Parts: sequence; C-alpha cells; structure tokens
Amino acid sequence: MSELTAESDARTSPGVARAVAFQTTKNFSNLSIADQAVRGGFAVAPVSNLIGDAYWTALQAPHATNVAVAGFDDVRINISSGVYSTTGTATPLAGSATTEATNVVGPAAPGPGLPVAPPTSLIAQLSGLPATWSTVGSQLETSVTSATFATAMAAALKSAAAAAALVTAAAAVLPGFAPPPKLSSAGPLYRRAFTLVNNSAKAAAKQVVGDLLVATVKPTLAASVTSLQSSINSEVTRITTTPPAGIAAAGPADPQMAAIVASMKARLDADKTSTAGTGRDPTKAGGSAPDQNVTYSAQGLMGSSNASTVRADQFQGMIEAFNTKLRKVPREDKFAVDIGR
Amino acid sequence: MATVLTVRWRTPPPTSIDERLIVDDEGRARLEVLRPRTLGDTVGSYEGAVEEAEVRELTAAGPDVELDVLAQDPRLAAISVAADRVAQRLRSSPLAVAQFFARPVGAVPPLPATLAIGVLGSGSQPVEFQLNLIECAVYFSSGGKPVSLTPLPELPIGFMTPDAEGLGGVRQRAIVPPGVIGAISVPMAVPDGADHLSAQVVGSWFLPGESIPEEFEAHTAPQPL
Repeated sequence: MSELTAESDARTSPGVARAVAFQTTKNFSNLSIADQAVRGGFAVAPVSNLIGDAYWTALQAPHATNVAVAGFDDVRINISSGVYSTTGTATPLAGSATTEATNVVGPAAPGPGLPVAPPTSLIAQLSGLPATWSTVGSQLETSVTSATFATAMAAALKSAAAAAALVTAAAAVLPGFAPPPKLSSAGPLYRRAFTLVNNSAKAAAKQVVGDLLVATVKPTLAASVTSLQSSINSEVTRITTTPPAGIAAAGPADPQMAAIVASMKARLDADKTSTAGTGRDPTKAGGSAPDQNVTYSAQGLMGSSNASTVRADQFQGMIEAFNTKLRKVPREDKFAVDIGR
Repeated sequence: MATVLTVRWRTPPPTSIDERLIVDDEGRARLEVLRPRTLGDTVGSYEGAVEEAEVRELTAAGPDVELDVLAQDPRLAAISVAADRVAQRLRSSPLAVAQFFARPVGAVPPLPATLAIGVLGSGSQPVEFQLNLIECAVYFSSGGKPVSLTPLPELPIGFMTPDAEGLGGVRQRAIVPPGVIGAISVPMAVPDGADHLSAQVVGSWFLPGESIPEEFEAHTAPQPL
C-alpha cells in the first residue's frame, strides 16, 4: 500500500486500497502460484543446490563450535582451507576419499539403468524423506501453513518497498536525475498492484517451499556428518590405543579410513616439526613457521584474538543500566564508555 | 588453462582478510575479494588481462606468494607493488561483484523505523551467495565511536527487488544478476545517542563456476541516522 501510494499522484492514490483489495482477493490466483512454487522448488537444479548447500553447512558446522578453555573464554579451532583440498583430484587421498564418500553418500543418482542406492546410504535416506510428509505432525504440516506464507509475503512486500526506497535515494543523487512519473490513472495502478502482489506471492511461496526442504533434510545430513566423524574417531582411537601386540588380533583397518588417518597424522607431524622451537603463540602471530593447518582464536572482551584494545560496545549495556538506575539527575551528566584514557 | 601464480593477501592467523590474485597461463588474471583488506562493502571476482612482463615480475618468488598486510616482507616488496597494481586495474572490470549497503528508510507501517540492507550486483555474471544471519549485525555509533551492535533477527524472506521479485539469500542461495538491486527490510530499534549505523554482512559466497562456497564478509559504509 505505502509503495503504491508513494508511486501514485494525488488524483490516483485514493484508489490504491481498492486496487490492492482487488489484486489480493478476486484477481489472486493462489492455486497457480502454489503450483508454480512447488514445481519450481522441486525441480532438479534448485533441489540439488539446496541439498548441496545444506550438506556443506552441516559439514562446516563442527568448525564453528566454540570450546570453553579456562583463561581464554571461548576458543574456536580454525581449519586451514588447504586441509579441504587434501582430498581433491590428483591428490594421494583422492581415491580413498571418493570410495569413502560413495560408501557414505551412495552411488551416483539412482535412476533407470543405474544401481539402486543401498538403504543405509545418504541418498536412500534423503529419497525416503518425502514419504514422511503424509504423517500427522510432519514437517510439511508444521512448515507450510497460511501463517508462514502470510509472514513471508508481508516481509516480501516490505522488502520490495525498502528496495524501491533505496533505488529512489540512490538515483536522486545522480546528476540529471528525473524522478519517474507518478501513476496517474487506474490502469497503470492496477497493473502495478498486480505485479507487486503476484511477484511477492511467488517469492513467499518459493521461500516457504525452500524452508520446508531445508528443514526436512537438515537432521538427516547432520546425522550423516556425525556418523562420518564417528567413523574417523573410531579409526583414530583404534590406531592410537591398540598396543603393538594386539594389532594382529584387531584385524585389517578399513583401507579408506586408514589412508585418511595416515594423511592426517602426516600433516600433524609436519605442523609439529615446522613450529618446533619457534615460540609461536597459537592464538597470534609470533614465530617464523610457515602457515599452520590448525590455529585457534579466542573471543573475549578484547574481540577476536585481539590483545591490544577493548571493545567499547561490550560495556554499553552496563553503562545504560547505570545511567538509568544509579545516575544522580540533574547533578550528573550521562556516563559514556571511553576506552584508553 | 592452468594456474601459474596465486598471490594471497592475509594477516597472521586467524586471518581476517581473504583477497587473492590468480594468474593463468593464457594471460588472464582474476582478483577474488571475499574479505577485503580494508573494511569494505564490495566483494566478488574481477577479471582481466595481464602482461607477460607483469607475470614475470609476479612469479619472481614462485607460484604461491603470501603477502602479510601487517608486516611486509622486504624480499616481497616488488611483488607486492606489482600485485597491488594489477589488482587495482582489475577492479575496473568486475566479473561477478556485489556491493552491500545499509540505509534507514523511515517508517514502513507497522514498523516505526526500518533498515534496508541492500545488495547491488555488477559485472558480467550474477553473484551467488547466502547470508549467515547469526553472524550478520548492525553497528551503531556516536561521534565515530561504537555504542552498540544488534544481531540481525531471523528473517522470513531474502532480498527482494523493487518489483517484488525474490532474489533469495536467506536459508537459500541468492542469485543477483548484474545491475539488479535487492533489499531486505529489517525492523530497527535505534539506541539512545546513536548517530550513524553500518552493517556487517557475513555468509557463504559461490565463486563463478564453483559449487563449494567460501566465507565472505562485507562492512557497509556508515550512514547517518
């Protein structure tokens, strides 16, 4: 309403409410919008992107976990991007990593002429998820509701209005800017209202369908990552705790896991050698060692791994509470945070 | 096409910047800026030609060069100057670049005050990214000093064009074609005394042709309230 009113001249703006009411009720084709959203949302490319992006997020999630260390507040373990590429094409680990990935995820997309994915594989688990949507209380039932859609559509219209305001503000500072002509009759007003209502409904429907897919696949992907971590952990534990006398009895290692663990150990040994005797502070620069695969960052009052300044905003809440409850008005001015004096 | 040189600008670990210059054997160079060296509002890829003489100059210290922006290695000074010169030139030929900005846009009923976080795509290809809402924040300052920060709330929808076309970016990938502007409307509560605001925009960035995202971080220019 506000965007259309801003775009209309004085003679046309009284008709904005009528145009919006018409386009959101009598002329609103909810079925065709829903149909387009479902067909578009479940097409191969968007689903591939959504699942791929969600899987990457699940794989990255353990890296964003803070560890509480006494004296350091929260410590985060940073993995160098070089570690990710250790299983890339033409690396010694490429074959083992591909075999392990196929074991966990499953073979290439099942279909006519291709092998069916084993039931324990990730692909098979993901394929089975839509069947859960028909049960009572399912993700579909809780995620796709009229309230969710209404919230998304209202937000879409507000964001479109904000985008229009940004464009106008940006254009206004350009030399020779002439503001676009106002909507001066009912025809253009109704067409503009139709565009805004239909586009925002499509965007809201697409968002709701996308959110449904992400919420549905997220637990399965997270469980897959946990399972993979558990496999690696078991292999590391097995290798590091089995005494030499028990190795024969323990049986042969999983060849893929053994190769990955051996590679990890080689990198750790190289890190240990390169940083030995440098006095390098693991939370900050200091030594002459080359780049490390693993570093640590501490987040505290001084910001991220910062030992020289204190962030003023960390004290703002305390100062505001002091000014509100303890300051003697009018004798004392408001107190403010002032660092470094 | 093979990579003959990669120059990375970084700070000591954990590095807060991510800029790299990649030169291939066909005389093309690409500058990838995901966490700018100076707090900046623009991230993405730039591409252009590079002279043979420049390649020789840049590869003088080998195919992989790291330039510490806090403590310059005198042995790499000449390469640093050459890399800066090439990077500066490439910035005039964006491949897939996004500029982020944040502006208060007044009341959008029923909200008394609204912040628009905007994105503008430029170059010859669309930019693709997804916001990490937990790490995005709005900073308020007064007289140039920070007074508070507010994390972005959970948002129901991503970036929208003025014609209400959805571009994505929230819980799904945004695809912003060159020349297209999008915005997200965010409810805003301005703290007492604040006179400027800026936004920290963080998320996953998909470089052209890549399916695995990398982290990006942009800081919008301060705007008066």
